[in-house]
Amino acid sequence: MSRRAELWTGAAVLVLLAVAALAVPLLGPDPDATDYANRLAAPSPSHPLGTDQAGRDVLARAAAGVPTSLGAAVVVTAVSAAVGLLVGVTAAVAGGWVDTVLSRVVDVVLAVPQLVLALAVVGVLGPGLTNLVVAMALAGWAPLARYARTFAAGLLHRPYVVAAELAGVARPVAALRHVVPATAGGVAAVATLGLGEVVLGLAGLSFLGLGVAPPTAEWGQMVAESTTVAGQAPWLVVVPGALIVLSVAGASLLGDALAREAP
Amino acid sequence: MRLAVERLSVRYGNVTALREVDLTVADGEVVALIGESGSGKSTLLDAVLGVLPASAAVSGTIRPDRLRRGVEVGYVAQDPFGSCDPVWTVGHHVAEAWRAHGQRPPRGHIARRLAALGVAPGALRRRPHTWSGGMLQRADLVAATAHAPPLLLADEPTSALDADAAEAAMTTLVRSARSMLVAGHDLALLTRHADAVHVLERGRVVERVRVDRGGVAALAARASHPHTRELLAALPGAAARLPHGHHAATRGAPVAALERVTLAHPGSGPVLVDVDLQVRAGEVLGVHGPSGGGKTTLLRALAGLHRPASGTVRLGGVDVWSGRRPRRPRPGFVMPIFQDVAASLDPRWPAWRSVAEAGATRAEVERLFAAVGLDHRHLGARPHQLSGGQRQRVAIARALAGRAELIVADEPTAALDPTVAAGVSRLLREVADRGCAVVVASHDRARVNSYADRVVRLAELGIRDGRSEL
Amino acid sequence: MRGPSRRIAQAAVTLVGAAVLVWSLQLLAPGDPARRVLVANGVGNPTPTQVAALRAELGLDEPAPVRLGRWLLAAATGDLGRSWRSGAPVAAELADRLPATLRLAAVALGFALLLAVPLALIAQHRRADLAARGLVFLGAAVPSFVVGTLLLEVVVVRLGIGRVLADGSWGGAVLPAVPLALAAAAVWARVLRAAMLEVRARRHVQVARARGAGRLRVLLVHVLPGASPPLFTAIGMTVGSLLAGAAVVETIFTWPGVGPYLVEAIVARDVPVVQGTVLLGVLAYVVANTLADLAAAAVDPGRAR
Repeated sequence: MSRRAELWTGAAVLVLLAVAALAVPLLGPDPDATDYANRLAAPSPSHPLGTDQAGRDVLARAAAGVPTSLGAAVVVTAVSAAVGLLVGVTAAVAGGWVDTVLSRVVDVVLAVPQLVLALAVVGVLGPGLTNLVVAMALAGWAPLARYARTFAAGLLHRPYVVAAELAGVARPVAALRHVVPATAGGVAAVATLGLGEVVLGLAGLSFLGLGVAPPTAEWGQMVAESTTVAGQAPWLVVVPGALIVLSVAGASLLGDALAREAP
Repeated sequence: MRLAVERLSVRYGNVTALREVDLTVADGEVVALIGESGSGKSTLLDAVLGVLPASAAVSGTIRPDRLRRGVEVGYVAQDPFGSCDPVWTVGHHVAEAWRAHGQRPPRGHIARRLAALGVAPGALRRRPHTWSGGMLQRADLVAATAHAPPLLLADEPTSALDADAAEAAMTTLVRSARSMLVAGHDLALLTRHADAVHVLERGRVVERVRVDRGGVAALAARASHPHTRELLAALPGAAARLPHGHHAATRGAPVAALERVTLAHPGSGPVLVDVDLQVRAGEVLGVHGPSGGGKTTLLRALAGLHRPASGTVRLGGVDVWSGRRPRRPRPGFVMPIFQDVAASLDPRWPAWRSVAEAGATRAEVERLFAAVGLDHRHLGARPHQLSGGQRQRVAIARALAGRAELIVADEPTAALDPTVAAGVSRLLREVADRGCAVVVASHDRARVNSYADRVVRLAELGIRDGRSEL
Repeated sequence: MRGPSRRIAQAAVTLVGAAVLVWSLQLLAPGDPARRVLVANGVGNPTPTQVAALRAELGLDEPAPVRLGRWLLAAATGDLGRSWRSGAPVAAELADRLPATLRLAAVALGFALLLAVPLALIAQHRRADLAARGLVFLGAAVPSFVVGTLLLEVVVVRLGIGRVLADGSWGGAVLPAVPLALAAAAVWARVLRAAMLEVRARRHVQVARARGAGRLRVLLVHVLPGASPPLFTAIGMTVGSLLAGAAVVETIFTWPGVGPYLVEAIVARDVPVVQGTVLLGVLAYVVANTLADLAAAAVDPGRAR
């Protein structure tokens, strides 16, 4: 797929999801309205994606899940990217003992697999969406910090930065002008690529019951709630699953397009 | 076997790589394909070999066609380290020439052939990165000629080797093949070893000359096409030495000096020991030596970028390393020119900004552009929109913007085509004539000789070259 | 050799650092851990005496560095403390459940390799590449819990194909391994495909073809080996994510492994169990990555950085 196509498709998918999140609540039924008489109804004109085990409209719940599932992932990614960029660039530009200390810290954090670290943090803070976001952000900054450091360090040795220093530009200034913009772009691209992983991670942990408490809508949790009835009403698993796939796909395309841009 | 190529054209999409090429290689003949990068030499060889990508549009004939690769036609590539898979041993690489055809190499055959070329067979058990370039080229040759193919194709077989190794490699190649078609851009080397020369320009054969191994002189005597004459003129020794202003040897202090300097890399042995070197204003000093011998380290030391293990580095009389951080007389006193032209300018910045950063106003930048032979079109261009030679000129403009009194140039023309390289050399000479001191490091002795006032060999400066070339 | 022993030494140091990190996380927790344990175990409103008693019992009154030191030394000898819920040694409870998870992991890794390598090979052929990439793209985007749930509830339960053996045996591991394998295979196939494309562009591949090697031989002998280092790295990374993946899959298939044990401990805030299990996961990850690095360096010496 060409870079432009990727960029626009990815962005379009994500925008579509955001729009649905805003539009559906205005047009459709209340995602929390239960209707036990109409449980597990198959898709029909009145309920385009059917109803769940409490009679709630699946389409409404799915749309309500966008801020929690996708929105939380965006927050996690943004925070991880910002922290990672700061730590990585500081380590590369300052050099010396600052670099050694920061790099060792990053190494230690990286030695713990991301989701395992998130699980450990949740294990300490307790379940809940906020704690989940904190946990995943704590787990996600380190890979971006390492990437930022390697990227920035590489740029610092580039001939044009050496030339700037010989011409009298002070190191921090040269770094700010030549290194930070390019590194920020690189980090943004890699972080966007990781957005899909974050969505999957959040959904998985929510599936395990470590995320939002019911009845708040969240895609992973919606699947967890419906495992027992999945045989009768497979759409209860397929719909949230498909939305997750869509989010991950959109984020991957967007991230890939961003990553292909900078030389 | 006689190779006949008739009206061969090759197109990749809307890029035409070869136009109506006619070529013959008679039995026992060595034919050279000469041209600059992008002239289509490699495409022609790939076509004869039958390895063009499926997306290429081909017309014309090659007789005999569908040559059996490895058996009827052999192939030698440019860089021996690139030709061997780093994962396997060299022995595996050579034996592949047989195994690719479902055969096993005859017992002792490889060892004997290697010994005949002066290579100890014991090293076959080791992997390519432990071999030297010259040795590996010979091992690769054994593989290429495993089945004694009547025709050998060689694509820039000596470009990655130093001058002496190149001559030896070329001689060995010619001796090992019955007929050979060799592509390259080293006019001097190729005309000494080939019977006939085809000159390619932008995919077309513009001239066919019989030189009968007579060297550049033979080519110069019989060539008539403008492009061939251009290539001849770009030869380093060809033009009369570039005129340069005679600066009375400045009696004042040298612009840069190394006093009993020893340079080493942390963790490994010394690269240069006890070096004394002085550069004066208006002088072009060439530093010549093989790649990896320490030229870059020397230049970095002169620029104050590499702290010496012992000794003093002076710029404009000032001791650079009197404190922990390097002290230079003023910003922009010493400015660099790099070999890696692509990386010498910030890819996100327009060209004028890179020059302005060194301390020039927009108006001054425009003047400097004119001074280095660029025009206002290039001001706002991004580096990727400029050619290698143009980027190098921007780098020189940046050096001038810094009001440099010393320019350190690390292989400034190595990555450029011969005609472009000649232009950049001329520019550096002009800059020196206007009072700047220029130190140029290069492995191309001939080119450096054409515009330098003095050339020192790295070996003379008291260095031990780390890698031994057998 | 200097290279490998340095790597191993670095890995050991990193492991200790990670253990310190894992242990220190509990300092983030708000409130009193003893209180939380009591609440999690059903004591609605613990009295200060109860809390104090539990604190003394669990040794929570000593300063943090001392507790950390104790824990590290004990962990080095295989003692991971006692569960705050059951009182049983964590190491013993883990040892009970570990074999089932290991079998699941082994089967999943094997499946993933069997899927990824042919997929990457097929993707080298221009026409099949698009389909292969689409497949891989989807495979990476589908959550393992969706695949697992659909597999279990729809395929097995509703349609009656296959059986679920939640007994920790090799045979029973086949079904739960599928969601894990799909996710891993998608990543590995992508990495291997890209690596093979990169290697194919190198000159030695062209030289091999020029010397007469056929297309298949070129792919298997000249491209695949050189493309394996990034695959080793990817495999190492996958081992790291296996614990979390196992938590999900084992929950779905009621597999008697380490996963559900960890999840229950998290909900109950049983800190020793969480720490011990996470430490195990970290150990496996560090070992796997070190092995992957060593293997990659052995295959392609030029990459050693």
